[in-house]
Amino acid sequence: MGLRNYSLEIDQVLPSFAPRDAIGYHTLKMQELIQSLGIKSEIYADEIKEDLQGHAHLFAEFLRQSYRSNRYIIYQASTGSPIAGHLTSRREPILINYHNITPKEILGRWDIGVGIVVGAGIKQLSSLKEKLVGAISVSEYNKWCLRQEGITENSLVAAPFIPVAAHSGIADDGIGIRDRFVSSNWLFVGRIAPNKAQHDIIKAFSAYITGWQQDATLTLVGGISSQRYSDSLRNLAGELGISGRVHFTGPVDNMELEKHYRDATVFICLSDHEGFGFPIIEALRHSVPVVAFASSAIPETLGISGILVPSKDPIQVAAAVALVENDRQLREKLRAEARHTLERYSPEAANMQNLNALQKLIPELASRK
Amino acid sequence: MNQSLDEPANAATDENQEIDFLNGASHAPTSESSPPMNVQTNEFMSKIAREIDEEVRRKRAQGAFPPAFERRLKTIFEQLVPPGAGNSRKDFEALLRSSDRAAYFDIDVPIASQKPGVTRVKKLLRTTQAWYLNYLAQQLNNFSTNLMRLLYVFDSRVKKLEDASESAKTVRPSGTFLKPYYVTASGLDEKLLSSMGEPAGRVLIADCGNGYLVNHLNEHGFDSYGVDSNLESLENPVVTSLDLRWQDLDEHLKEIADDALFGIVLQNTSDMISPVEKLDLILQARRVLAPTGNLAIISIDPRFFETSSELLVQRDLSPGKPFAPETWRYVLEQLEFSNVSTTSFENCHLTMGYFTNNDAPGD
Repeated sequence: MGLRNYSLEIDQVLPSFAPRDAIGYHTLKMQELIQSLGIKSEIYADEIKEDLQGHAHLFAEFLRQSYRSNRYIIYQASTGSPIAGHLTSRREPILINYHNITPKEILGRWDIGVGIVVGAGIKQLSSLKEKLVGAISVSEYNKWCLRQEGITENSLVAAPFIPVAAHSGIADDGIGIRDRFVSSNWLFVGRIAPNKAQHDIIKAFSAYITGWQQDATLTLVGGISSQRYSDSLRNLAGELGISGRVHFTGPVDNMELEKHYRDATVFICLSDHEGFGFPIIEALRHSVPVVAFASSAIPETLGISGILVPSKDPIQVAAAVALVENDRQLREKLRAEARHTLERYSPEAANMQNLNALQKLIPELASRK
Repeated sequence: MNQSLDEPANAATDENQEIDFLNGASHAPTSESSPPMNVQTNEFMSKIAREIDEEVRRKRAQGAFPPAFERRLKTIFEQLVPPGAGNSRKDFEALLRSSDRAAYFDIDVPIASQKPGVTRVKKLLRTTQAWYLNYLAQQLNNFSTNLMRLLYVFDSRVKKLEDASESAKTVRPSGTFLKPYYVTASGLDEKLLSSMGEPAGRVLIADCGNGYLVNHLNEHGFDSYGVDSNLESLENPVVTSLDLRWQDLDEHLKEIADDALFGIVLQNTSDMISPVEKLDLILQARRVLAPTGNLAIISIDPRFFETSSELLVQRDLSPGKPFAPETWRYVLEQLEFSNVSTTSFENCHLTMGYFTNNDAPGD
């Protein structure tokens, strides 16, 4: 391609750059990795949240820039965005870092507008594929999804960079193993959105209260993506007579999040669709046993370090929670397996895998250490 | 993979299967319908699924969940789903109305602003660009108006079809209009027991009523449970710890994974539904039966309906008529059930079919 190593640039573009956001964090870490190789790297986003002003440029600025032969572009893709349309008209080689796009069938039921945006995102993948020189997916599942859109050439998998909270390793103090809990406290962390299926969690929790422990609590942490869905969840809890036991916290800061993980006796995830499932890793880091529905990328992320349920039948899910809470031996086994999972998704592993992927996809990087 | 009993059926497989009734052939989709799962994860999940099933059975045996529990959880949430989000006629109409409201493109852009002078600038822009935007908006409005008309015509034609098909199956013996008739005959339970062979998995008793057959099989080492769409009949079970659920049979079968059941006993409703529904029911049953599973059909003798006015009314108002045992036998044989046999009792017949799944691993 005639690029000269000393002037190589690798810039990243993404629709929204936000703090405490999995993709925002990943993009920042990717920039650090590229810069550590002595390569210039900038971030361009359509929307830059306040805390990150100064870390990125507006995408409009990118549009004004003319073609640079020494530049690669990495598109951090997670939703439909006009950015993808603009990229198809650029001459620079483009790589996609794929975090997955929720199917429109799940979101469109609650918000037609959002459904259209994510639907467009999938179509944009197809139109972008001719321009791509390679793809890095954050999970094998995402790679499989790209294959469904015809993106197969130079398609690699590299673990995402996951924010490390206060607990950087698994707790050894006995608190983590949750043997001293008096009452069950279910936890889920994620936006209040239909694909996260908090309604299934509430139904399973209702079954748990009916069949196992009446004084259990459920904490749903996360900001609201769909107000309509959020209202339905509150009404569901009300109709089931468990409003007092279901807590909606809204968005929380790291300190509060830490407290919720510490207090939880089980982390429950019944999402219909996850491209990776960061909170599952956070739960493992806090030694919280995980019970999750085996959909999309979740079996790959959790592996055998948690309980995967093949059905969202409320009684089955409640029984799975009861099983993990009452079986100390099982919890110890899961905890031991969690160590391997956390190693697999450690910052060092993510760094190495992403570096390897970049070196394979960008020939000019092959010789860089 | 050993799937749990209540695992949802693989929707992709279900929808894409083309079933040729007469040849009993089924063509699975050739494209990759789901990503592969790690073998170790798969094995661990299956092992845990068995423990979960065991825990569920233990709780059900304690009578922790009333028959209507799951149905209640489901219906409450369905009522909270916003109009237009479901797929009922009401939802469709709500969506049609909201699409109609949104189908007009207006070029009268708001120009109000709190910043001084901006309103004037906006107004100038609007005036100078109006000819262009108006031209575009006219074309879009023409298109959307025609599209909406097309949708309304389409809706009215679909409504006619729906009405015609609904009228064919509105009166159901299991509905509120007619009370279901639960067949009893001396020796039937023992014959069923001996025909089922050795217990080798879960058995579903459809239209279980007070759970008499469920209890009978359980007492002889089977792991059986029942479903019935008639709540009234579930309210006085023969034994309170039985696993009896208030659910429609077709809905329940759709939720069960392939090859999950060792046996299915059909009775009552299966007599009175239309021939098409009967065939659908058997195909669903065949899908969920494990390799070498058993299917038992308890059918009321068509002549028995003439012995009481209550049964006559039920027969005449039903969407379908009861099959003679010879017909059930023919249907099961066409659908590749083997060793099909019929035993007659004073007012009913027991038709047994044994299913050998040729696609089973190791075959």
